[in-house]
Amino acid sequence: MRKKTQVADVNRSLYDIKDKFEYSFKTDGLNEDVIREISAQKNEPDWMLEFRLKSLGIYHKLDVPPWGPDISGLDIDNIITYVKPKTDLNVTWDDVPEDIKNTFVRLGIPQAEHKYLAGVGAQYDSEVVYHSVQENFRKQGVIYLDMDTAVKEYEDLVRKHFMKCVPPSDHKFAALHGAVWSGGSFVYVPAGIKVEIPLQSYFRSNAPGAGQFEHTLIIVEEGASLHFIEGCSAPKYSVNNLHAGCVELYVKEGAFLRYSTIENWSKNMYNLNTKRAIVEKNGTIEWISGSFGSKVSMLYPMSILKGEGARSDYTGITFAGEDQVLDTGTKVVHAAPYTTSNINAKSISKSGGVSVYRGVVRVLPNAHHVKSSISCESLMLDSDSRSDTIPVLDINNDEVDIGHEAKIGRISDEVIFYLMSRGISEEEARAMIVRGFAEPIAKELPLEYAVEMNNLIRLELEGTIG
Amino acid sequence: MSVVINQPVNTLPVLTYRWLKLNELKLSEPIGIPIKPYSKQFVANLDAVKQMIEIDTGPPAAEIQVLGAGVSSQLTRLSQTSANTGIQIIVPPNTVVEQPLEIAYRLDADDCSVIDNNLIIAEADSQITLIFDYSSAPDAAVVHNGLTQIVAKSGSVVNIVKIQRMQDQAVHFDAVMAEIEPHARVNLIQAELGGKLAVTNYVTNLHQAADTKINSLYFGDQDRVIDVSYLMNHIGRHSTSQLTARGVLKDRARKAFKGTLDFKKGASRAEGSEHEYVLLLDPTVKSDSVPLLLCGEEDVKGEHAASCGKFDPDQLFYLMSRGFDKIQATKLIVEAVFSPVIGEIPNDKLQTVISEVIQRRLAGE
Amino acid sequence: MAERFLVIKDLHVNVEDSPILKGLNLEVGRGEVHVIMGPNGAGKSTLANVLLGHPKYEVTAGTIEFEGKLLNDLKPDERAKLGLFLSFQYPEEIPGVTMENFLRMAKIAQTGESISITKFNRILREKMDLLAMKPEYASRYVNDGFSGGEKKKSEILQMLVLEPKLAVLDETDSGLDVDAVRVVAQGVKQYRSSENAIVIITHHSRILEYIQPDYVHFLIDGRIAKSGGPELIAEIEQSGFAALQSQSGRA
Ligand SMILES: Nc1ncnc2c1ncn2[C@@H]1O[C@H](COP(=O)(O)OP(=O)(O)O)[C@@H](O)[C@H]1O
Ligand SMILES: [Mg+2]
Repeated sequence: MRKKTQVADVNRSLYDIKDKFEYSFKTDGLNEDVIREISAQKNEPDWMLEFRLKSLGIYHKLDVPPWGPDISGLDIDNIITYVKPKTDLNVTWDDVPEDIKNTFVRLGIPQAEHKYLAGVGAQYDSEVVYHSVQENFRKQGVIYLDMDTAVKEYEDLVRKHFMKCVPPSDHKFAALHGAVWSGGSFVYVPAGIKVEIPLQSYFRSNAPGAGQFEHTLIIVEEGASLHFIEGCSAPKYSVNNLHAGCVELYVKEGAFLRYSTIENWSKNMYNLNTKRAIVEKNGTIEWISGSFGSKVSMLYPMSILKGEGARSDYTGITFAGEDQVLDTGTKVVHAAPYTTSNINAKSISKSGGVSVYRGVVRVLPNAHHVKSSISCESLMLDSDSRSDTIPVLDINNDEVDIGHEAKIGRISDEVIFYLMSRGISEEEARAMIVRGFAEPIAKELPLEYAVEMNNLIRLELEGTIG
Repeated sequence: MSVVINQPVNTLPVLTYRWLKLNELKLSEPIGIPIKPYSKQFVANLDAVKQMIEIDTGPPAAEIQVLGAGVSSQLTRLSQTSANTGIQIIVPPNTVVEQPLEIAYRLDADDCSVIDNNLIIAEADSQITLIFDYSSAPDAAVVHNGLTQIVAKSGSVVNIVKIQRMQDQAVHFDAVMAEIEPHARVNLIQAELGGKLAVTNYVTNLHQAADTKINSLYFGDQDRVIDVSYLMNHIGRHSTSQLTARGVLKDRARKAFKGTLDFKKGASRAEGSEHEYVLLLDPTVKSDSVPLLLCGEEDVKGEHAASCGKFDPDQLFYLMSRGFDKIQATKLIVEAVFSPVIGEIPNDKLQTVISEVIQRRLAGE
Repeated sequence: MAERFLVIKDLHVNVEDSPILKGLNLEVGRGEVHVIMGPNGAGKSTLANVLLGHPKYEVTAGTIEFEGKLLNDLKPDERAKLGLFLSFQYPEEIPGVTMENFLRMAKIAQTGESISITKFNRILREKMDLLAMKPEYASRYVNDGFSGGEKKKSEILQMLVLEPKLAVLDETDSGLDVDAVRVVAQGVKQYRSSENAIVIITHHSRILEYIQPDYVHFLIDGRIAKSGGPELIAEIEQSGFAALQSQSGRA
């Protein structure tokens, strides 16, 4: 008789509470008029409208990738491209309409802000409904704004960086994003300023059949440092939603940026997100990534190590349950000498879920003395599920030290026996091992998020099947 | 008559990012393969084994189902329809053929193409070893395209050694396909040492408790393009596979290594491992590796590891402290990389020949 | 017999269909220390694993009773809760689970009573001091990246924290340097009492310089070939197992 692990599905009840679908304005579909309408609603500068129209043209030219998960269930042309909630941007929670505020309270956002965040942004469907940053950081010149405001107030800075790191021509969904982006956060940390407590933006999608296209642009100047946390969730509807956000990170000389994400979109969400960092000399980007939600994810944070001595660390966990295909990983381009990358990717598959690690480490011809270490570990909890590892090493210099390791397997019977011999029940033993597997990621998260993650990997164990 | 080859080769079993241009290898230019008879003797020791097995020279009379596209469906088709040579072997049940069968092709201006189609059927509990050796005359623009199909019936052991040591103008395509039935084993040693373009493809179906061991060795120098692909389909319970690839790249050589372990649902207790070690000797080389692990079964163990870099400076220092100069030390280290594989080749003369080819190419001669 | 603590009768055990234990009999009384010695592959670890109910080891005949209770059909955690403990010859590594969490959970599971983190931490520290283990071991992952010696200490630490009634130490003294053997032996001495019992499986007599056994058994080819007092140790030091092996080869 073989024992089977029973790990519960991610508990999404908290995230699943739907608000009534109310809005002050929305656009359906995708064409030039819709784009002009969105831009007019936002009262944007002309260059941004032009940028949107150009992106739309590119969108129509590009095809969907022939690789990766099946996204044919997504009807982009009929997605609601823009949903303006029935409120403007607020600077105190009291001004946020009751039902929207309650949603964020349930998700713990105002409480977290109070306890351990330096600033918070909260987006509801297409627009940011709340944004604030602690006074002492504001005084030091730290800018933390919603993206739409930033386009107007910091026009030059935004124009110089907006979709320069991820151009609309990158792929079809980047082009789509360029055309219909809305909301998101803008962060600017001046040279030498260390923001010791994290900033967090939370993206909540409430409207059924809608797309969310927030844009996050972060510039960390020379010698500065920042920890940015991104959270996302949505209630589940029977129609499919699309998330095609874009994150652009500029890490300047000697700067440090940690970008943490706990992604918990509902299981009707196509999460086709693009995240990229350009790292200058001796700068560091750290990606901490937990993927739990969505129906389909295609998410590969990319680091371009542009300056000598730049470093990228990626620590990610993916938990694919029933009806989920989570295709995640990371891309690193070593474009300069003495650059370093570390990749530590873990995945768990259960109940027919498919998790895929897809990644690449590319070393360009001029990049000597490059070090890269890659480790991928997958845990299969049953044989209805799948787990694929698709890494690429593309090395164009000889002065390199590259190591890659991947492992796939199940929970070892010997370890179960060891734990049971100490009086721990089989169910608890399995739960302990799975939690231990995810621990290296949990360890990197602020305590509250680690707790949230452990709740997401709720381990509810059943008996034995024959 | 001549056939023009233009389709991309060695397509990955699962595709990934397009910008890497690694999903398949596009030929830089179409390659013409002349179709005409091959004139030389190619089985060195036919008499020694003739009594024990059924053997026919020439391509097989009947086609058997292929396990995959091979190097490309176009090239596989070419070997099936227009082969100019080949062997067909049936090893009767319980027959152990001790002496390796040696098949050697020498390409030159007259015999400028070898299109071989080989079929090896090892009946239950039989054993056989075959050595294929492809070489070419200096300055001859020649092409080899091969298809070798193996059916290893239960409990049998088939050892295949493939040595490719053609000159720099040669083009080499070679597909090996093995259906490995319960408790049977197929061991493959493959050495890619020459040619301007060398593309090989090995695919195997592993049934219950079947095993395959692959030792792959490549040496890239000058402008050689090497593209090697291995696909292990673990179908049966307790099936096992081990792949070790060792390579050295020098000058402007480019290599893509594609190795896939595919654990199908139902292949419980299967174990597969894949290791690749690449030694890089010049900044102008290109080394791509795509080690895929695909898994639809919980109760398996799969692992791969790859390492890539210049040689260990400590090792080099150690050797130099013993009085070796850098070139001698390099030779020694390269020899150390390859010798475990070369030592497995059951033919002393070939072992020496291979070592010499490597040393000569290392010295840039 | 007045008190029946551990009683093993005519135990036959198969591993992957091949017989390893072939009719083993052994009784251990409360308060006693027994030593089991025997050549490699004799079945010592098999005995230890089967006592804790490893699913891979199949009992084909015979019984194991502990305090009058038949263990044969109990799961490993149920046996642990009855007070059995095994110090593994090759302890498993459990990445991501800290020693402290693990032991606290095990303690709660075994006693059925909750224990506060601070109180548990105090107990743990005390036992760690005793074994000269640095405090940071509490926050390291269970045996993960531990050296051979550290793993063995970790096993003894677990024994001291869990306070079992019967502890089986499977080559806990192997691969340790002189100092470590002394520390481990001190841990065992600390644990020893008239209320519990210890079975020490070992190849070396060094640990027995610290802990005086009451009985010594030779396990050869799946059976207890000879039992006696501590004097047997000297015998085996001199003549090895070969002589006994040929004797036991009789039937
Ligand atoms: N888990 C196992 N799987 C397969 N064989 C085993 C296993 N455990 C023990 N054996 C076999 O049982 C025999 C006894 O082993 P063991 O009990 O470990 O001996 P000892 O501890 O006395 O050295 C050996 O032949 C060993 O190979
Ligand atoms: Mg033992």
